[in-house]
Amino acid sequence: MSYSVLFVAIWSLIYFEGRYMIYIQEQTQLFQNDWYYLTDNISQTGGFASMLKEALVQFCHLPLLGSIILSLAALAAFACTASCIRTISGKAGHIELAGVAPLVPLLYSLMVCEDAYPLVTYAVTMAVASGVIKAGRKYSWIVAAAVSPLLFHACGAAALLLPLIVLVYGIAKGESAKERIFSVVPLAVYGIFGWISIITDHIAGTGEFLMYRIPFYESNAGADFSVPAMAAWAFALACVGAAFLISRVSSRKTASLVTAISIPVIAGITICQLPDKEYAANVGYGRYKDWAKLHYLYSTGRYDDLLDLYADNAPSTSVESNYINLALYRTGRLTTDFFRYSPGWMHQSLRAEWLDMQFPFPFIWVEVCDEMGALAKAHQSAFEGNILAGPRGSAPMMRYLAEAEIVRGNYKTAERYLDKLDDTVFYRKWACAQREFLSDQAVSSNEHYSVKRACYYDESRTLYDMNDLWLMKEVAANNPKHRSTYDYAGLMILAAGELNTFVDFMMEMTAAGVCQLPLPPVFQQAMAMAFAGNQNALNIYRIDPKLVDDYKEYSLAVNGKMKNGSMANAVVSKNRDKYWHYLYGLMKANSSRK
Amino acid sequence: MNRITDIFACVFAAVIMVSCGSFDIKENSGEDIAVFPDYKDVTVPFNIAPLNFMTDDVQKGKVMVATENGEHLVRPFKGGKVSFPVRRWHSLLESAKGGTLSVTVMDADGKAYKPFCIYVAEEPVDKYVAYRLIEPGYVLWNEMGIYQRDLESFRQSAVVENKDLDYACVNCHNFADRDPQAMVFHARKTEYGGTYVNVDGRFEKLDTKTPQTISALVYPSWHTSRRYIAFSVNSTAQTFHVSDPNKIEVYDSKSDVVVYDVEKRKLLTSSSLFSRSSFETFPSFSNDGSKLYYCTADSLKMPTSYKSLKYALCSVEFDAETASFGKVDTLVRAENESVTMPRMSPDGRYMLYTSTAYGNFTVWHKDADLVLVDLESGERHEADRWNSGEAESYHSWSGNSRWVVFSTRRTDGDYTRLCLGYISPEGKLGKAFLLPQRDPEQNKRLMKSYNISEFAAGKISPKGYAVRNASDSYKVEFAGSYRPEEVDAATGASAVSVN
Repeated sequence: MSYSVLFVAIWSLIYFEGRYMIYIQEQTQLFQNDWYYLTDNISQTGGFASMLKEALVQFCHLPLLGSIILSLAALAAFACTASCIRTISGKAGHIELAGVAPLVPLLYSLMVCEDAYPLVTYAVTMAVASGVIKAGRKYSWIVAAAVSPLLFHACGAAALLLPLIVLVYGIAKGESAKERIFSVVPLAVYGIFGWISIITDHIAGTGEFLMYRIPFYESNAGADFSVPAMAAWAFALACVGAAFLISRVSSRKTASLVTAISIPVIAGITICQLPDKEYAANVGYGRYKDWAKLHYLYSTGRYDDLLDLYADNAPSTSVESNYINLALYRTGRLTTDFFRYSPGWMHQSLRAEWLDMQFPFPFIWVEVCDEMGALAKAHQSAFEGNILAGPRGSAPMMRYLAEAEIVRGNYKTAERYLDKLDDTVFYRKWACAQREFLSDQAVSSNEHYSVKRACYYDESRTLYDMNDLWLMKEVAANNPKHRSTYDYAGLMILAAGELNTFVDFMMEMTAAGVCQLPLPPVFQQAMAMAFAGNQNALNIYRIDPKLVDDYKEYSLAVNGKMKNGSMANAVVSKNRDKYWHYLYGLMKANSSRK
Repeated sequence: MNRITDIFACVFAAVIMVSCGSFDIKENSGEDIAVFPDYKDVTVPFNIAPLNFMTDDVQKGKVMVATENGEHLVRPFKGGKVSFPVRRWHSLLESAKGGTLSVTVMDADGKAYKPFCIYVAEEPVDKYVAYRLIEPGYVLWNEMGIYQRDLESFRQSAVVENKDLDYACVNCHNFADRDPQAMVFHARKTEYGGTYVNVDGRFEKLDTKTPQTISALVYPSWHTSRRYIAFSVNSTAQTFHVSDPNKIEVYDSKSDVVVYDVEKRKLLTSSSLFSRSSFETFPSFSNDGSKLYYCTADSLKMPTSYKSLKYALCSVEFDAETASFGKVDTLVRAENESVTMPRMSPDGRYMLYTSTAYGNFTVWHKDADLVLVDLESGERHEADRWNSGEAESYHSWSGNSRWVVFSTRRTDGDYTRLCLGYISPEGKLGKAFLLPQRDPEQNKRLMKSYNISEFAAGKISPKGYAVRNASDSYKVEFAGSYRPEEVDAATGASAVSVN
């Protein structure tokens, strides 16, 4: 019963607080059902736990399923801790105390490092520890001494918990001085193991063992050995020790009271104190969580839900703006509602590169570049994003890389990525479907791929000597079917308040035969302003005279006939919710011309 | 090798196979079998690790490898992957030295495919090769390291991994005459950044950026005396093609060549290596140390002129006693090609370089190929038996001058792998083969590229610990008389004379 309650509590925490975060975790890993992956992982320190983590986290592709699986892992951690306490204290009624120690790795995994690795290593280590001390006090120290080095190889720093728990167990349950002394042996073995390595290193002058066999040095376990992570482990250990002590000297009532007080205190300290200060300052948990939610909504096709989030709130970061734009594009509303959501610096946000190395920025950046028609840049960014995700890469980034290589006709490289995705649970179907496009003939007969391929028009330039807009104009002119390029390019110009440039752009597009009438709503509005009074041009672009009338005030601003005083303010005030930044841009441009 | 002899050997081996009890062929189909990596008709050293391969044609069956004198090895396989035991393989190659191995694959129904041959050279290859493993990336990197591989087995071990160095970029390792104890490499970024030189047991960290040079030291080449190491200094950048099949263009907007005096910790150079009107890069000492080869091109505006940039191969005389430079000579003009990465064979007979249409960062150029110049006759030969339709790039010679290890993108055009190529004493090339792996699928599964492949005569001791514990870095000084007023605004190069 108590475990059921605990499970519901953990699941609620993971699902309601962290379902978007665990989704991002899934997006930045790549578990594979493959022998090569298995052996490569197991050979590295911390590799087993890392692999186990990836095996569990892959199910977070479906956050409901993933949260249940992670809750079970957390429950296992609690159960094993409870088992250890029960074995050591000999009291069955102190199970609440088990709730304290695993809280640190759980919260740390969920909120601090956004990686289930600490939780998984803790669960595995405690499972081994509870098994070892169940072997009985006469044998536990032998088993622990033998298992410690292996456990370190499998789980990294968390393995230190094993000899320490055996030590506590020996002290608590040892019936003689001899037995208590023996309980130190696993810790001594652990230490000697390290010191032998150090001595060997000094004699051999290699450092090979030192680097990979003892803790406090970085290994493939990655964040496991960072200062906040180590603090988390130390804290967890202190909690376990305290739990043992309390269970020995206190009544159940006291233990419950201590637990009740400890849980919020520890939770608070873990969440607030452990994150890397610089990281917290740069990203911040709240902001990251918001981005994770946007990514989840976008990736799962819930575009309207995404846009609803900004019905009453202006986006404040480029990540948000870009997700809004893409959602608008996917729902066919980009050139209708663009200015409804975007802040004035939209133009810059579209062009900024790698403003933030934190996921999901690479995801959105790749998507935006792809829709803009800057495929070489999208390809490059996907590769960087894949590297950024970690040593195994990221499934969505790899999916884009496979697609990019198919578009470029590099079928062997595409196969390399498809092979990897083939070994996953949630991307296999997609990967299998793409195999039919591994030939020029198949690509040319597929609308998606053939349109994308046409973005690689014959151009010997490099990205160095062209800006995004130049490239987009070229792509739009050379590849009219890639409609998003035309839309994005026009909007980028308008968002920058460059109406004259927009008119030039439209003329170029008209000459290239890209321009289709009637123009999209936002483009019509811009042309109504630009050509106010020029009936011939208005007729050519089939601009409704009513629209010209509606945008009279803007036209005045554009043509410099509105004073930048009260009248301009009145217009801004009147249109704040929709077009204030638009007008602001126009007026600014107008002002600078003067 | 005589073709008729080869055919005879194959037929002979086939006869052996048929008569072999454990390899009962029911049908000789005569069909070619497709194997990956392509080990058909390759020339291998007798001390190479087993050439495990995979095939899509047969999922389950047996393979027989036979020598001309009848020794043979039969192995069952499944999953389309063929692997051989290391000891048995070596024993077989030892007896096939100078001859031919015949490989026959038979499926579970007894249908045998047409045998293919592997030529076994009499000359061994150096036991170790060191290389860096890194994603074939653009700007960012994650985990990378310099590793060594025992070519007689499949053992790979780390020399230095960047996770030991706070994820610094480790690069450009080089050895003095393949001596594993005399090594140089760089680390970039993080607190461990610097050039690390290990010579005669001393391991030094150097801060090699001087006010007079445009960058810290980059591409190295040891002098035979081990007192000097030539380096280029480069201002390197990269940009991305909009639609070219070569995805990336890496280029130097400035570059010079200097020589580092290991004893005095000073940089030397000459006006020919430090010219403001040209880029100089990829220094490489001749086998006797009397010349320093380097690539040079007119200093054009980069990257706008990247397609016009062609490097010639020149040399300048070098006197190690007086640390002075002499006359400049041009070996290959930059007319129809751009020359990079010149490496002279240890016996002084050949100059091997990478040729491309333009530029110098050839790993991203699909047209990049290896070219041999016979220094006795002056003849230039495309290394056709080693080259492929994809990029061939970095290379190094084995100590006996019979083997070359080089990087190639032949497997898919993006992920660099290592190939070994043979050149006979008469100058005939053997077909190159991909570095054997325990699991041949590794070539497809590993998401990292091999680069900077350098032979080593012995095992290299790991350097991570030494780097982490290196003493304070030594500041390298520039020994030339520097005239700042003559710094060229476009290239950053300055006129210098050696003290």
